[in-house]
Amino acid sequence: MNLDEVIHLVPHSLKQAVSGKLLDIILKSKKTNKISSSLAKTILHDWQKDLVNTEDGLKHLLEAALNMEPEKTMQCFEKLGLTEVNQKLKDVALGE
Amino acid sequence: MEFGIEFVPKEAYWKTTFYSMQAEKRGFDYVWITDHFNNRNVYVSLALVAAYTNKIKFGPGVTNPYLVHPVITAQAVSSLNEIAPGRVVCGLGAGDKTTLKMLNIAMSKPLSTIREAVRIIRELSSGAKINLDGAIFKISGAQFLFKPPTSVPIFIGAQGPKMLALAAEIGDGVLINASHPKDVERAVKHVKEGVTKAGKNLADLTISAYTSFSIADSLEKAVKAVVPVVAYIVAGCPETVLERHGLNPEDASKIREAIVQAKWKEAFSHVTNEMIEAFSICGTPETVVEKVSHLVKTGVTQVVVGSPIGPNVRKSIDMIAAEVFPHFQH
Repeated sequence: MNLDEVIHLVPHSLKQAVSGKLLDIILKSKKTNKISSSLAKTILHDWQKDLVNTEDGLKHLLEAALNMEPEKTMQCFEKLGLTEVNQKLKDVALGE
Repeated sequence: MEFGIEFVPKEAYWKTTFYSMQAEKRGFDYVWITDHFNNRNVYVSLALVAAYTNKIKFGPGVTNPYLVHPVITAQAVSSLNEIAPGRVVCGLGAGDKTTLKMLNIAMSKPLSTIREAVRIIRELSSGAKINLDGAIFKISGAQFLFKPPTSVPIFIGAQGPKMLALAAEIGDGVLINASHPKDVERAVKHVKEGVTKAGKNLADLTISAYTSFSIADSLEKAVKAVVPVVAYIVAGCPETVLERHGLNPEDASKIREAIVQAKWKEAFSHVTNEMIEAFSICGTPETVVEKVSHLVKTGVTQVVVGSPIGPNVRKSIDMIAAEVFPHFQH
C-alpha cells in the first residue's frame, strides 16, 4: 500500500495532532500481533530520533495503525476534519 | 527532587520501550520495570531501555532473591551496566507473596535473605570475589569472568518497620511502597532510625515513595483508571494499615474474595473513594501537585509514578512533565 500520497495530504499544522492520534491507536491496541517486529523497531527509531512528525515517521505510524485498527484509523482522520485524507486512504486501500 | 516512573511489562516490548523513551524526553530521572514471571522478562525489557535511551537511570523495580538467585541478578544488572554505564540501579525486595505462592516458594527469613542478597549483588557487581557462609546463601569463591564498569546502586523495596530500617542501613536507596503521606511519614521515621543505627548520612540515601498514580484531565477518568490497582492493593493490605486509614477490613475481604473468584466487576465495585485516597495519588494535575507536595514534606527525595499512571499513559506522561514537574525543584 502506497501511503506516501496519503501522508502528503496532511497539512503541516496538523502533523503533530495526527501523529498523536495514531500513536494512541497503536499504543492502546491489543492487536500487537498485527505489527511486525521490524515496523515496531522502525517506529521506536523514529521516536528516538524525533522523527514521528515527519512524513516518513507518519507513514510508519499509519501503516502500523492500519494493520492494528483499520476502522479507528479511518475515524481518526474524520475526527480531525481531514476528509480528503480519509478518502485518499480509502482509495489506496481499495486499490490494493 | 527526583521523579521515577514504573512500567509493568505486560504489554508488547516496544510499548514499554516507547514509554521509557518518552519518560526520558520529558525529564523523568528513573525508569523502574517490575519483575513478575508472568509478564515479559524484566531484563529483556531493560536491555531495550538501555539501548534506546541515553541519560535516564533504570533498573528492576523490584526483583526478589527468592525467585532469582542474587548472583543472576548481579550478572544481569552488571551486563546492563556495560550497555549503559552508570545508569543502572537494582531494586530488590522480598517479593510478592501471591506470585511466590503460585510457585510454592516460601518467603522465609526476609530480612536475612535481603541482607545477604544485597551483599552478593553489591560485591559481584563491583567485580569482587565473594565467599559467603550465610544463613540463606552459601557461596564459595564466585566472581565474574568480566569486569563490571561500575558498581550498581541497590534500592530496597520495603513496607514494614524492620525492612525499612534494614533498607536504610544497607541500601543506597529505599523504595517505600506507599502513596499516602501518613504511611510515607511513618516509613521515613523508620528509615531515619535505620540510618542513625548504621551511622550513615541521610543525604547519601535516596528515599523514594513508590506510589500508585493516576493523572488525567478529569477526576472521573483518573479514578476509573486507578480502581483496579487500588482493588489489588486493598485486597493484599494488612488490617493494621486499613485501620490506620479508617477503612473497614470487611470491605477489603469482599474485594479479596471477588478477586479470588475472578469476579472483577464485583471486586472493583467495592472500591471506595476513601480507598483511592488512602492508596493512590489520583486526580487532575492540580490535585496531584497538592498530593505530591504532601509527600515531599515527609522527606522523600524521589516520587515514583507507579501503575496505572493514567487512563492514557502517553498523555499522562506529557501531563506530568508539563503540569506537575514545574511545581517542584527538579
